[in-house]
Amino acid sequence: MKHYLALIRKADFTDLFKYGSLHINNDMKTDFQCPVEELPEHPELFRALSYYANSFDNAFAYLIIHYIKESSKGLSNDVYIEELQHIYPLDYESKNNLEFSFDERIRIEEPLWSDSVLELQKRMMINECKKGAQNIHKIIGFDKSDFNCEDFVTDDIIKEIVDELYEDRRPNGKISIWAYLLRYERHDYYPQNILGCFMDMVNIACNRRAMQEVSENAINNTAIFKLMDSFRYPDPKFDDIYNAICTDESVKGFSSMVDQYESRIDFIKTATLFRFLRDRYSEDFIYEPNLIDSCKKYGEEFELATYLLGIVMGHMHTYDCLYEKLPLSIFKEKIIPKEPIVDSLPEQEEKQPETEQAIEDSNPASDETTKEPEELQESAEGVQDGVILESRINTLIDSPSVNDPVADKDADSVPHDPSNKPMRTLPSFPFMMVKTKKDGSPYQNCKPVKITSYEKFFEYEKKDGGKWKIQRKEKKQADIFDQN
Amino acid sequence: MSWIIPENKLDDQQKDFVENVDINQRNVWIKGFPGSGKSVLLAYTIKKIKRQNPSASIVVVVFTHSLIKMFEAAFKEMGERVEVITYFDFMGSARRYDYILSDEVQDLTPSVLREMNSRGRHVIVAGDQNQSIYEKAPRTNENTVSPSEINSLLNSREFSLNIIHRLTRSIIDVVNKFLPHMNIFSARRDMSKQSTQVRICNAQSSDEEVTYILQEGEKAVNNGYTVGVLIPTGKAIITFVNTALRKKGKPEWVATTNRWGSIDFSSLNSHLSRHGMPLQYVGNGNGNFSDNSRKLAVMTYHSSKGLDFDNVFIPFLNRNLFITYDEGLSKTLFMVAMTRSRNNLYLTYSGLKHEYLQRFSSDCNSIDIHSSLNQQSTTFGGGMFGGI
Repeated sequence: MKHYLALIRKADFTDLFKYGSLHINNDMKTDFQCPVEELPEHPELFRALSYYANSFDNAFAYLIIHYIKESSKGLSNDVYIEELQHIYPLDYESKNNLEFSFDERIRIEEPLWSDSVLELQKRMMINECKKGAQNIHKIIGFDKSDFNCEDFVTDDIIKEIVDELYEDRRPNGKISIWAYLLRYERHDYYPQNILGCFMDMVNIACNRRAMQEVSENAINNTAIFKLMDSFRYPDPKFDDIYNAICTDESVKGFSSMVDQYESRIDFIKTATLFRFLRDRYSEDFIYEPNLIDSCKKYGEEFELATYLLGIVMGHMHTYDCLYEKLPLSIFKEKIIPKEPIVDSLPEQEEKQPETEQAIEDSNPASDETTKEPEELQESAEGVQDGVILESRINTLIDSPSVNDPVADKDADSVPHDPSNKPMRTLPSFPFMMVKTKKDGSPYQNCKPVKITSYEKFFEYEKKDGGKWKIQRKEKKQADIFDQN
Repeated sequence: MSWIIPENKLDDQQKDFVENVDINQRNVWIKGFPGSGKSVLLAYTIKKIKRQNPSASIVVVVFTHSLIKMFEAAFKEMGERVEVITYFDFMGSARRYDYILSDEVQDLTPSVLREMNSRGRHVIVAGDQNQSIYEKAPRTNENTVSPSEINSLLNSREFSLNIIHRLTRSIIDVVNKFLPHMNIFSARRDMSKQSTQVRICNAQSSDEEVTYILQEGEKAVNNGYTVGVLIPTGKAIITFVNTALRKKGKPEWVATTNRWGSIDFSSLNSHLSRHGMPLQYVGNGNGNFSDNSRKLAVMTYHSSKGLDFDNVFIPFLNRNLFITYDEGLSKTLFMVAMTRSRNNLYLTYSGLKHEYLQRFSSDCNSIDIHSSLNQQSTTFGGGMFGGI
């Protein structure tokens, strides 16, 4: 008779309970000799069990079972429900969850090694952060660069920020300025443009100086903040503010202070670019070649800023974009329609606007003079840009524009149709598409759809029930890096 | 963008439901906080039913027309044809179904659930009693269901979704301390998610509270951030607004009633607008968010349900706070108000703080409003940041 522990997925346990037996992989089980009560004193057993565990979001995705096997019974890797002795959750949160969701007759024990589980989760997160950085560098093409971002964002720094996150700590003390940067959150009302990103950068440097997080109130009478205030006008440019910081005598003290914390690279530039990117990609990373190109002039600082972005976004918020960029071999081939997009969809009855996105309840408040619903606000800027660029876009989308100089410069090519049809061009991602009536005018109360990938484009293009018109969303931030 | 998420983005509990819960065995009640993905699971359930039995007759019964539109849009995207109707329309017909699904079950009445149980072979409902803010159904005036009624009328199995994606970890911590039985927790740790800063702000008087909210709120809206000022009752809203008017040297609003005998908030908004105040009342058809880019939205806790703001101010949280006569409902409404904030939550009080705040105030940042309002002239400049 032998005692075993096995790490199994929650869904595996459901199968075991339902079907009475389960086949267990050798890597996920281990035998033990000590009395069960002494198991908590042997965290090495958990290390052995979890060595090959896949990543998981929540600890309740897995559980540990204790079973006794008589060598004579069945296959050694099959466990039968009658052999089960104990069910251990990985941590206390999981105990609650399992008790909620399993058959109420089942007894869930106290976790054995919740500290070790926490360490495992932290290790997984550190890997996830690094993968995020690698993903973004692969997407942008920095993966072959000689510049080594890991010299700046060391494993120690990543470990520090992950520890802070898991322990609900904010950064403090004499830690790297990069840790302060990576953990920074904007809670002050800085402008929502590039000036705000510079103010974030100043705030971060001051946090490092104070060795704790400080608010705007503590720093807004400094020379550097006064200089920032002089740029409080619409659409300030990155280079203008940056040059002022470099040349204005009154803020030399700030530059020297920053140099004390990081002198190997231009922190001011790197941190501001990083903050710009963080604001821009608050959900998932999107590849915008035009923007990337306009930022590449900032060299290693931009490379490091994108690496830092990947650390924060992690694999979870970057993998979708990477898969699209590669693309994965398992993805379906994208067939390019021969006809222009606006003509390729079936006609739709005029009577009802499409409910593709949030259309407000059909109240009559949708004429020109009425304010747009709240959901439209966020895209209003893009729509206006779309109107400005409309004639140019129509040129882009109405013709097979392989020779269109504008398209050549700005557009992303749709993957080529193998049947040698003319190559189509699209504006660079993201762009907006809006549903139109028969005459091509957009429905007033229909929210434009944000197209972030070819996959999304094809998905909408195939939708029946109306025409779609592309509206180029030229985010204003894109020209903040223009040379003067 | 659609609210339906691809299967690879479902969390562990949602996956567990999709993979393991047998809806044909027993009726199911999917419970969970807003943002836990109850509606998503209803949509996935329909996908599963259609896969197993393409000819099954299915209806989705919901509370409002906006929910009908939300589901219809999702089904269209999923390529499914499913009937979605209001509970009122459901009660007006006699049709029987293989599957009846319903969202926001806490807002339905016992007679609707009874009808569902008798006309559906299988019933799957979603909703959470902790979010019920209606005591009676609007048209029938019948009491809404209690949790025990849901279970007894449907003989259902409960499935709880406890992972909340919409709320930040700091807000979840506060809710768990305020209402421990909620037993909610946040999604996986995520470096890219910003936390909500919860600040307990002590003032020397309610006038100071209002002054502080105006000062901080204006700073926020002038930089393009949204601000909600959430106040329990219409009467307290008038107090807040008139204090603000007084502090700005403007004439106070003399409360009037409309033809239904309620406070005429339309007239209040006209008054605020006429005097250039950065405030507007939002609720009951008054106020307009799209016109709100430079204004603080003042509203009741009740009206704020379903909305989000970058910054939320909840004033007057002293011992005299009155929300409703029903203690359970008062707690629910206070929880609704606290969970509206994405970035900053300011809970302000003067005098003795309300017992609600005592439950979690030790975990929050503290702000002394009086010092903060008088700070400008004293502390800036030198000290640690001198020379930069």
